[in-house]
Amino acid sequence: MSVDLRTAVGAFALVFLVIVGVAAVGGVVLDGGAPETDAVADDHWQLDAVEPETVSEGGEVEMESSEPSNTVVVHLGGAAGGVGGGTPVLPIEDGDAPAEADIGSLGGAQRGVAPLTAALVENGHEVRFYGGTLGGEPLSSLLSDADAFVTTSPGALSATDADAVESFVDAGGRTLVASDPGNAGALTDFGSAFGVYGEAGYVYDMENNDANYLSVLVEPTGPGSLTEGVEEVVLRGAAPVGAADGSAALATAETSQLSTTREAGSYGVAVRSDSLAVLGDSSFLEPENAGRADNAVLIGNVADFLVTGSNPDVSFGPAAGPGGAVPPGGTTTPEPPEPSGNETDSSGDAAA
Amino acid sequence: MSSDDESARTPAESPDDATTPKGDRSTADRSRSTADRSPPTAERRVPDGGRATGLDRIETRHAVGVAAVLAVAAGLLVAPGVYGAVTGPDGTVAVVEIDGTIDSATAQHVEDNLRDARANDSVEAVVLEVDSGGGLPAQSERMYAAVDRTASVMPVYAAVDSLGASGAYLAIAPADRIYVAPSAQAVGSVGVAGTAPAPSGPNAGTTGPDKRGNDPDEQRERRQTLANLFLENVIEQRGDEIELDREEIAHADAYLGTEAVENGFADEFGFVDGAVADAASEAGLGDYRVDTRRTESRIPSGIPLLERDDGTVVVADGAEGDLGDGLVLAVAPAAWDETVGDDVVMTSYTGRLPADGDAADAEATTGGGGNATTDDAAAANGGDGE
Repeated sequence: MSVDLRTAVGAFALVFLVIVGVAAVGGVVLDGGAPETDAVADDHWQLDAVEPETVSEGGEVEMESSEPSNTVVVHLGGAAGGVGGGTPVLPIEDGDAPAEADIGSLGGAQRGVAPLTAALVENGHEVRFYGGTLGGEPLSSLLSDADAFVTTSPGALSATDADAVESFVDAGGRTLVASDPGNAGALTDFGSAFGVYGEAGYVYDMENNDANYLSVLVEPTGPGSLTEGVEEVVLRGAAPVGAADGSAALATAETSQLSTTREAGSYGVAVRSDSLAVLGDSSFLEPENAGRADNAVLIGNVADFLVTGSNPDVSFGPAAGPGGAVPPGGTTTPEPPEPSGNETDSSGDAAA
Repeated sequence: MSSDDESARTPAESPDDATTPKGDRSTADRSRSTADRSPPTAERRVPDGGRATGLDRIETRHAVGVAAVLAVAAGLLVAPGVYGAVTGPDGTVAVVEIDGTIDSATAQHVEDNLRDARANDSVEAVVLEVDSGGGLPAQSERMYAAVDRTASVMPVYAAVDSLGASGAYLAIAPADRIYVAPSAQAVGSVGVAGTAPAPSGPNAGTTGPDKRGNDPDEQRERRQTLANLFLENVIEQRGDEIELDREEIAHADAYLGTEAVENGFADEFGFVDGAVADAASEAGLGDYRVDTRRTESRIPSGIPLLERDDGTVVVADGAEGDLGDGLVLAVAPAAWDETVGDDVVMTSYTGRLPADGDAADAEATTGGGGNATTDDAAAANGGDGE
């Protein structure tokens, strides 16, 4: 009897072990676990592979001219500046409701031209800001005592003021118009008398840029006082401008494209017509951008341009004579005339 | 069992043995006496042996019967499994949803379900059901990696409804095949967007000048780096299929489904059902089960109603699901609104002039993508303006 029990237990144990053993071995053999996945390729995630190319940094604004003291009137448009920490915006469309582009600046509007004004003052010249028709001295009065005029917002000049500037340029007053995208209509309205016009849209470049397609790199097209010593300038948002004689002082690379037509090609972004210089961008004057590439050299050249030459002999007509025939806050409107606005609209729509 | 039976029978037989002689007591007595008389053990064995053969026959019959019964029981036990194995599905196609603004929850959902699909032996293929205009870049990258990993062990197909753009396109780029509805409104949009670079003002509340945001050049560069990462990922995965060059892809256009098939951003027209069928056949499944794994329903936890003192009920529009516009996002223009809320006006150099007082709203929907790259809404607005 005891022998039978032992045999039975032994048989039980044997069968049990065989079954468990088969299950274990079978499990190991049959089940390879979760399938081996390929590692995710990460070579193209290395910084070297994705870091954008950027331009050099660290230029300094230097003026060469040793002219005696000149007076430069600087007009900056309306309240384009943000308030403390805000982001000032750049109007890019003329029309009822301008779309705006933010290209990165801080503080008041006057900050936007600080590198230029600092260079002028450093070299013994006088800078006077003009804030528009509301309050303060009228532009015609300011210009009658001035040697040069700078505006970064031609669209914000009232009709009276635009006339005054036109007379000033006619009389040989050196004038720099930095006209951002969106001011094409106003620029043409103002500059046509001197054979200068603005084109609708903006220029961008997907290949040759400073870390953003809007930050186009432009180069001089030939020798000229404005572009002396300049190899490459970064503009953060450039509008194409042109002149009647077809010459441009600065032009974008062949890879750039015009927003309205998407056509690739080299676009002129700076022209000079005697005492009038027009650039399709004001951002190069900003403190953040003045040190990029050769922007500082360009700013120095612009400063020299403004203060070099004979004093303009300007006389304003009775309508805007000295003494302010137009009362402050008068009937003038800062809006650009309708026809030019419509013109820009239709071209914009056609492209969209 | 059998040993138990034997042992059970052994005691039962002994009484049998005992009773059988009882019927013929004299024989038993005689045999006992003969036994007493000793030697003829052999003589006694002969009748014993004859009885044992009979017993054996009975035991064998019993054993066969018992074995048959046991076999029937065992067979009945196993049969349903075998039947199921023969007639049931060969495997499972998992349908994983990628829906709405991409944030951590979306990435977790996709990553978890794809991991599960890889670990589950019955899942043989995955179909991604996509309707998303993007979201956070890193979370999109996380899904990208999960899809890439899964695609290395089983077919992973993606089917796009309206939106498979920006971050969502990044997520599905490693899929083996991308199906789009012909009327899909945004496929692609390879780029990132955020507010324009701006310097930060002096602030004594921060311990360093870059604490609140670094300088615009750096911001611009980092944004471009994010865009390049996106671009490289797409080129890595679909460089052979996409017929546009690098710059054209970087324009970040969002294409219609019909355009996407043409330019290689997608492979063919189709919807989830077709993708499931094709993925199953690619995985060699003649007969399959579909396991749909949707994101938790994003029903806005009820519209919050607030009753004011004067009895009026105010409907508050909760926008807590929105992502901050301070982040750089991989978002298609069509999805910008739902991603960052409609109070953020995205600024850009657009050549389009808003029609009227709704200008700001229109800009919010159509901005960011630039000219002619946006959706139907943009075109509609342009039409109104003329």
